[in-house]
Amino acid sequence: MSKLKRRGYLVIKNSFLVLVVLTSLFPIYWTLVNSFRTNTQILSVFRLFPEQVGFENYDKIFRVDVLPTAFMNSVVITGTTMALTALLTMMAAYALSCYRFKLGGWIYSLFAAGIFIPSATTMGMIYKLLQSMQLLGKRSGIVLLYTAGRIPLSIFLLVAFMKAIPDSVKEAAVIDGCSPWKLFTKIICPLSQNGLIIVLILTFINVWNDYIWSMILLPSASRRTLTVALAFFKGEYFTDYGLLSACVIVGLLPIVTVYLIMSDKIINGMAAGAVKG
Amino acid sequence: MGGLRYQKKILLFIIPALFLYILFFIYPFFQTVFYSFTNWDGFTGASLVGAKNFGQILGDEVYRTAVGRIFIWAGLSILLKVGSALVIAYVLRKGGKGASFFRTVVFLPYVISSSAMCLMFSVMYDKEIGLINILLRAIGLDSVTRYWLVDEKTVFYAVILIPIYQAIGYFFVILFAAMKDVPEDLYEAGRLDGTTPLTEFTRITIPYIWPTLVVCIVLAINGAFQNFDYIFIMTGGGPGHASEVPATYMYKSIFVNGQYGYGSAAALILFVITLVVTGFARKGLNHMYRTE
Repeated sequence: MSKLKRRGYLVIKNSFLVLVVLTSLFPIYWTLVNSFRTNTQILSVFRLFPEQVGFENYDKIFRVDVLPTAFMNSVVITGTTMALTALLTMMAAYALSCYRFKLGGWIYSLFAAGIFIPSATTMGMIYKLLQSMQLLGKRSGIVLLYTAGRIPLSIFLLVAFMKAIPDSVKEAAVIDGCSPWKLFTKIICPLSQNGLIIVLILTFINVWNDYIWSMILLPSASRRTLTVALAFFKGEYFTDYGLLSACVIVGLLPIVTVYLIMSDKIINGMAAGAVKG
Repeated sequence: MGGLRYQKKILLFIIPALFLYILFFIYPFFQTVFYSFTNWDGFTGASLVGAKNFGQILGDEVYRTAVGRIFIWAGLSILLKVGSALVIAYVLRKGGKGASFFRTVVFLPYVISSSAMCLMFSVMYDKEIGLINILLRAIGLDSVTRYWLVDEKTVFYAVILIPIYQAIGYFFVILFAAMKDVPEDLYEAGRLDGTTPLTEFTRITIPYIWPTLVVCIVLAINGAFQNFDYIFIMTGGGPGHASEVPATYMYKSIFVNGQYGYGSAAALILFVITLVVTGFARKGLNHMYRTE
């Protein structure tokens, strides 16, 4: 009897888990199926498998070069932000975590306070600020803003990692005549690699997926990022479901590829960012 | 904080980050506070109007309803996002062969951008070809099918279902990791005392992972209060004001109507509400289980 009960429990458990997997994947799968079909086919009947694996929709998208331009904009903006964030926050976290000075404690608290200021609060003023700096509509302006946005959480995480490096290691380096810069590049940077990877992953996902800021700050069509270009398709092609689905798939491809290559690092990094922040 | 002796050169490491941070965080924040007491239109000089903006916003039925909506959103987020993540994590708690694959799949929606997600769901909500109506028709609920994003009664719930759906995997990963840390002896001791699967969950698992659960609840509230990409992309707050939230209200005041002073006040009210509610939630919930 108890064996039977166990069996029953297992069946219920497994069907539940299968249901969760299907729910997680279905929207993407269904979009992929529709991207291979013509609009007439989609309108006439619901299908779980496409009639044909046709690439006409994809062909149409790539003939207008909105998506390739938007893709490049996203790559440039995200890449530059990641590099700048890594450099600035590693340096600041190093100074704050390795040296003993009162001012450092104050500055650290000031940075930490930023975690509580959401971007929606200051949106209007930041728009005006970039306008007055002549950086509105420019990629450099949004990179500076994104980098600033990543500073509080990144410094918070990196300081935690760098503090874990034993003082004796740092002191020994200083006694051997290491300058602060050398100590930073030769000892601290290599030893806080894991923290840096988390910071880079969080920056990548956040900046790559950001919609609101790039919509507000990059109004011209030639500067649009991938997320904004996709949202525009919603208005433009809202009657052509096949084309719309193909746009989504093209928009998903970069991030899903990166995710599948390093899903463990991404999942752990994002979970750590949440719990520690 | 550290142990090394301080020298002036060290400040050079901090200055670039500090400069950027003050420029884009501290300065705009104080500006927001200042301009919220003015009637600034973004171009001409601003004059101080006292607390007039705040009074006007709080008196506006549209804003008050919008605030009500984010509370509903937060409640549903906790219930559906954190709740289902908790159940999934508990079912999978013992791990097993497929656990790693499962984690990868369930987390996947979370790394997708809001705009791509919205595009997918706008097809799913379609009256004719949308999956949701097809499913309803399949189980004989033809009368329930509708234009989910046009109907004023359903539009808000239809939109917020997207971020809720997306984040389940994220909370699952966090809670799953926490559950793995629950020592097996606790469950064994419980079994000796005669726990059932249900009491095992409520008396052992929940108290043990409580601090993590509180983090998840606070994150869910924060997300509901601050996140507005989805509403912005799907409906812009409409039809009418049927899916308006404080953030879209603020956005329209500033970027559509050019009322920088008024919009700043709206933003500031939302900021304070968020801070107070998450603060109380954190404090209150942390006290619920003091296991020493």
